[in-house]
Amino acid sequence: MRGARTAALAVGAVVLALTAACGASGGSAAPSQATTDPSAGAGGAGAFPVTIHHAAGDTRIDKAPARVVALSTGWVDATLELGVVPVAANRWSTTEPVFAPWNKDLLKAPETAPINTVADISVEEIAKLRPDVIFGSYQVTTNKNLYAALSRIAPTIGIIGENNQDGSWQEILRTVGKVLGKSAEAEAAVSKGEAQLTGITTTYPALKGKTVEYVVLRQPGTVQAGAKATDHLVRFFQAMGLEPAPGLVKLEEKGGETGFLSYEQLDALDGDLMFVGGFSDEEMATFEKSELFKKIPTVRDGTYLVLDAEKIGAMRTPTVRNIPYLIEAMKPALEKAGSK
Amino acid sequence: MSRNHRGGAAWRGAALLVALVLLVLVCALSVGLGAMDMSPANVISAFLSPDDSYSTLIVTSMRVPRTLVGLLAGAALGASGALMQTMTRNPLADPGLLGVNAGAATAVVFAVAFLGMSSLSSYVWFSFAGALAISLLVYAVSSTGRGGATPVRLALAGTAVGVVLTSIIQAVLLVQPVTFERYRFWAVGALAGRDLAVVWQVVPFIVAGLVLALFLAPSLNAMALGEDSARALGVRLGRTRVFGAIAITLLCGGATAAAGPIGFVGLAVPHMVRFLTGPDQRWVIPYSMVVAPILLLSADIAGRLVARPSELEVGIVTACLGAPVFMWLVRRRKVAKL
Repeated sequence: MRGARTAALAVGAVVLALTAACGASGGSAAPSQATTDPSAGAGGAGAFPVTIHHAAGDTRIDKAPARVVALSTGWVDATLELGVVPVAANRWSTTEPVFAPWNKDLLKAPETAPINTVADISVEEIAKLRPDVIFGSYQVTTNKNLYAALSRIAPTIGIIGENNQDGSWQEILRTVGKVLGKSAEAEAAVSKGEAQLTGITTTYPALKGKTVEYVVLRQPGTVQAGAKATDHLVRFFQAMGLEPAPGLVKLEEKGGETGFLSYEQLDALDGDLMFVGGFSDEEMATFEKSELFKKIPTVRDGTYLVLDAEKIGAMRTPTVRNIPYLIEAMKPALEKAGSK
Repeated sequence: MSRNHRGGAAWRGAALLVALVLLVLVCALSVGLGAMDMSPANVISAFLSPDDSYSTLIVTSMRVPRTLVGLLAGAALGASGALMQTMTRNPLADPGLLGVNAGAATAVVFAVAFLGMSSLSSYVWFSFAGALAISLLVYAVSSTGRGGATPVRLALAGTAVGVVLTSIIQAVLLVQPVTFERYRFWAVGALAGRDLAVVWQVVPFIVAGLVLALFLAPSLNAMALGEDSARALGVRLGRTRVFGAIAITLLCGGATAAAGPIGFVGLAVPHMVRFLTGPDQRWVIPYSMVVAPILLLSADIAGRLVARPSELEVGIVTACLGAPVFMWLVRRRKVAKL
């Protein structure tokens, strides 16, 4: 029974993380208790009013908000990084933990209300929190009625990337910086995060230019693995000095239903380094036993790392706050590939 | 269609032979074509001189098992569709009608949601057990009261139980998005990712079901004349119905366990077949067993080729192919009599 629970929990974490990642996450609306006075930030009072352009329109913010609702992991992490604890945040997992593990010291229910953004978002629940600003998710952005309802409660900001995709963690951070009147702090946080990423090749110089693939088991016979230049995870690896696996890049150039691979195409996984995981340990164990898996070059060389559902899900959404968590999770494989 | 049919047994036998040849051809294509481009020489050498090359591995560990699953599930769906349509005298009968799919689905949802199961080989037994239990329940419900398990009662009981189970499934999936995530990949129906273990798990049930179906054909012919005539011709109605129900359960349960619920094949193939053979069950059933896997495997091959480098599940393809084919059949002339 314990195994079952762990599996369910792990699955929950991945599902939420993947849903967030695939569906242009960005909708964690959490009314935040201001732990610091936002107007005291470097942006100062002179930065308002400010207008934010996003996928659902333009939103004007007249003064620094104190109570923030953040409905996706990217928004939550940027808000926290800038010193504001949201009054509500998206549930990171439907089971435990409720909030992302890297935020466990900063976010506590019920001080921060957990909002289920996988199901229909409850407008009433958010209204009750009297937010000053709402950072919306994919659902908020694409559901016009929901967006209109939330906008009546407080200025609501949709996701900020192209094609209903989330913005990069840097873009999210800068947007939250503007809204909270903390643009200078946001810039500093961007530099800090980027330095953590570029620092990897300083620690392991041999990693520079190595190629990498990220593989998630999906339905039987198919894995998720892609090299789209716009993919946040691909950009995340590139910021670390790594490049996507050449086989995946080649498929990307050919076009078609990229992002997913039939088991018959697993020979495209020809990078120097692989991060792989599934919804459950059982599923991953079955895959590891298969001859197809043993044929993958990184498996032969031992430069792959199996990540549990929680970590493999977290990788889909790199944020300013989970960079250290992700680097720690990836470390064994980085060390190994970096020493070759 | 059948009354003024051109040929007799010889014609039908020859056409069945052609269908068999076609089936062999489709099996060959199913082994030869896939998301990965492979020359015929490579495919042949995978069988004749298997080495540790990638192409040998793909052929033996991916394409052969999925072809066998397609063959078995296809034959089972075709035969069970023909049986069900005749026994319930309902031209729209398919594995959904008697609650079999709903039973299998409920068991899989419970296995995922409450027992933490997450691999195909563990679904197989749950799916089969669910199909079996619900078939028994449907049969028991429909045979209470006077008159026993008549076709109408069977269909009504099947539909009622199916509705109840579907609500239960929805309720679980609604509160457990994680289960939904696993379930939806099973529920779409697919041949991919099955290994030989799955084939061995379902082979005995499906083969037994197919043999039983063939033996039942003459009694079903007599039943088609009406129950009184059938009784007058010496058919033991009760026994035929029980064996028919057993065959349907074995076939639908086996097919659903191996490939998930796949629509349209069981419904459309017997209609396509009756178009050729007329209503004689001694031909309809074997023809359905051959034609259904042709359709299923062709759909699977198409699914592998249209979405490269990914794949499209066969359940989606059969739905897309099956609907227009079925509409064409219905529109072209009256559906051949059962």
